[in-house]
Amino acid sequence: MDKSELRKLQEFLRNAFGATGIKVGLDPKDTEQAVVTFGERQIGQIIVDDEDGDRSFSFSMKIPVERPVLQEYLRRLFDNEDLKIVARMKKNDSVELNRGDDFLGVISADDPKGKSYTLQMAILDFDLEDL
Amino acid sequence: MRGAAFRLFVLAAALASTGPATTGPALAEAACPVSDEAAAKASSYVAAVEQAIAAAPDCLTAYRRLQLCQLGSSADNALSDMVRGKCEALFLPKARPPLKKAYGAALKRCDRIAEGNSGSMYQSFAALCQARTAHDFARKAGAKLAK
Repeated sequence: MDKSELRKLQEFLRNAFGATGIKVGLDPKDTEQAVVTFGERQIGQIIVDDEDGDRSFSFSMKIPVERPVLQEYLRRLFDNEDLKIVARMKKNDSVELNRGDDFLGVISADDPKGKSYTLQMAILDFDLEDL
Repeated sequence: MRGAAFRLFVLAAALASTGPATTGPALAEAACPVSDEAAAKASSYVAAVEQAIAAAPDCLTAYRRLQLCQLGSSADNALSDMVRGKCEALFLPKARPPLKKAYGAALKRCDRIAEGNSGSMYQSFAALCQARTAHDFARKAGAKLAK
């Protein structure tokens, strides 16, 4: 990942969550990976996904709460009331995260009891074009 | 864009929408699966192709059937819409604004094939171009967004 990609990814995540405090920096251990911080805290990571020849990225973030408070946790974390948890058709082990009407990503349970969750967001090349 | 350059553009678009660019399953159909019997039963070849595309289990199969069974006329517009319906369902509901914008722009580029040329054949080229565009976007973005 180069500086330009990191800057665009940072801008993308700031826009997506409406949180200007998000920062994206290169992972010192792996140049094809980035760490995402919010304030002083690392909240997730970004890896390159170019398996099928198209360069895109995958942002993942652990969410250490159970299903009933997922939405509230994310709204408080990013101070953004537009974040919304939406049920998925035919799937009850995961939900979708929207910002308003825009789809952001999928949140899946880490274990059958749903004690914690992981948000996965695909960031396509289209998402970074105008940033 | 007029004259020879535009004709080349149209030809390239037509070849792109009919060529074997799609990497499909090993057992992908090699010929149009609509038989004479199916056409007779459905009352016309067009109706039988419509049924074949409607029955396709996924975007890729629907697109391949359109490629193989295309009519070469403006009747391909309706078939293309059916393919688009299957393919767009894979990515449009989850598409963020930049992806929607890029998809819209790609469809408009297909429209230009028919806008610059009169004749039913160019309607077919444009229709196939749009179906291919929907298939390509579904392949590229659909799987990643649905993960």
